[in-house]
Amino acid sequence: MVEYYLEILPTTVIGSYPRPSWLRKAIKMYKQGRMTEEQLQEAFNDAATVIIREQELAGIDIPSDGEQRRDEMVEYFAERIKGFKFYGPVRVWGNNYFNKPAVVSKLEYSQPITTEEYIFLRQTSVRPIVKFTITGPYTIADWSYNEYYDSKEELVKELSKIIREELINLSALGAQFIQLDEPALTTHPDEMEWAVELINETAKGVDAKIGLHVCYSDYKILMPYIDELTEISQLALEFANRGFSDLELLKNFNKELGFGVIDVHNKRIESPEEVYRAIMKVIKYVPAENLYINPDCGLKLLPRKIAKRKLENMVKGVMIAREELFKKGKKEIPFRIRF
Amino acid sequence: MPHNQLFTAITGGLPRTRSYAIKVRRFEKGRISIEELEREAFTQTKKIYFNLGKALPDYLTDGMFLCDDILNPFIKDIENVSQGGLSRFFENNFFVRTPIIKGEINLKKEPIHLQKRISLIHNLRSEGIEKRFRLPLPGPLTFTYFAKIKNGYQDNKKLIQDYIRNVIIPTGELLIKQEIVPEIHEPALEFFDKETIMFFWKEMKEALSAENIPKTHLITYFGSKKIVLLIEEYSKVVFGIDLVETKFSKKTLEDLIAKNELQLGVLDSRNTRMEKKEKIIETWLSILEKGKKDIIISTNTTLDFLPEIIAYRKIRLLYKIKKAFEGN
Repeated sequence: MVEYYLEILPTTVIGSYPRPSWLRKAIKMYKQGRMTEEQLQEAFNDAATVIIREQELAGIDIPSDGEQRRDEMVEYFAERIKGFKFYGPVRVWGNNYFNKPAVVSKLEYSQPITTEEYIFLRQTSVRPIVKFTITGPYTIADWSYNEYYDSKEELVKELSKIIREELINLSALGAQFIQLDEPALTTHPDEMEWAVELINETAKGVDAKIGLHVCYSDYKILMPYIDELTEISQLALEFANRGFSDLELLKNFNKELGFGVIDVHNKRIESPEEVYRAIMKVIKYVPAENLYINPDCGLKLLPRKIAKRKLENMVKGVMIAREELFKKGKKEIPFRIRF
Repeated sequence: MPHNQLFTAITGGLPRTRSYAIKVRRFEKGRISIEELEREAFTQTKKIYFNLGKALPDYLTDGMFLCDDILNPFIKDIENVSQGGLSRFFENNFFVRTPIIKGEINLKKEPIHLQKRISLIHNLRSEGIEKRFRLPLPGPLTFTYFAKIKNGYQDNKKLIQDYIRNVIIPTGELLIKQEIVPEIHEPALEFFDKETIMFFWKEMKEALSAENIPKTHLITYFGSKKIVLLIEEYSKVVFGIDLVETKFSKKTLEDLIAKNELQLGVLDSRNTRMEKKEKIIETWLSILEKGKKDIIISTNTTLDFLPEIIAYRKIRLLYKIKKAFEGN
């Protein structure tokens, strides 16, 4: 693999981005039978193109496709893995729902799930590195009903094999940076041991940088397992939401950190100075050479204009921090597959 | 024939119907009024209850369509409490807005949200639904557990005490006038030490001893074993145990059933897997028949965790279990 160097404090995203209003209309029209499948795919491609470009223009070093084709992070995979069934939406909070899937029979990986999406992202972005997101096996299991497997561990084991096949297919296509999304990871502390083992199994030997995103979680439960996540080179964690408290938990942090500096559940736009100050705080715990800078989580719940401005200010804040680091001779870091 | 009676119950809220969800979205965009939304909440709840027919449980709730979760908007009826950020509801992929406490808490003189829910129940009764109604409310332990900011309260015990004296008691006084049973949810029971739990129980019994406070249903779930610390012969409380997530020996369960009226959560409302009627009856019937006191059976927690179609299948299964108990 070609060795890449990135400017210190590379900027990236977690994954999701608000859909353009015309895409939402197109999806509605398609569901009403007023648009063909081909037209819908064109709309998805156009939206992904726009969103990739929007991130690049904001100055993001490592963009994603904004997960434009995905309604929800678990639904999307459950729709494409044999053995799932949907009974209807359930509430997550307020008046927000998702179609929680049920595992009703043995799960099977019948065909690649996201490879076309990845190919499109790679062909569209002008950046040398792009980030591609996959929901992890533990979260898919935890956010599904289980009618078939005798235990949750068994279900996660099966999903681990399926997601692993997908990771292998993606890396064969040249994917360099894949993020496993596991927001559910710490919700059952007594399951952490086998969950971490299975995450490692999922990513074992995959020829790509594998990041792990865990948000809105109790990081005291996660930290003891950091070194055990042997196949994971970077953890993307949220800190803006918690007012940058809990940074002391990073004292012996021995991996790359995707540092969450933007609150994605608050419409207030952070200033570049706020971002800069947050970075200066975390540098006391994690060396600058091991940091990536990103929002706390996906941006899809924000209005599009606000998401864009937040990213722009995030990049500006990073540039202030870079200037200081440049003075100390710190300019670049290698893009590390393994850490 | 057993000496005791078996009742069925809805615990907590019903899954929101799609048409109600659409109305909520329209309300949030300012396209319909709050009155229209409330009318829709009543219409949808009524429709659900009528559609259940003979399977309609003996105990109903207001359906909680006017609520986002067990805490909200009830906490808006409490003085010096505002809504905070989202917090995960224990281990679920479900989130509640947490209370922010700014000072001494008291039920407001005009608890608007509570009154709206009571009014909804009144309207359901006016439509001829002649069942017992319960109103799901957060218990003092659960309220305390979720309150991340507790200004004016250095001590959890003081907060628990004030919540019981200044919120539960006046709420109970309102409910007893309407013949509505308080359904106090305490999923947070497991997270408190024995000392605090026994303090809570002492305060609750003191509150419940007043004549103008109704018999109360104290519901626990998500595997709360500490409920056994409280179960004693006490006619003013029905204790709710989650038998799906909490494993008790047959002997323990028989002992508990012999002590007091219980609500048993026998069906899993966090999984779509349908329990087999025969298996439930085989597992529980012999124990239920040994009870000296009346027993309520329900799902182990709120139905809101299930898609609509499954939620109503589970309610119908409760009815079948009851019929089997009665020898039909």
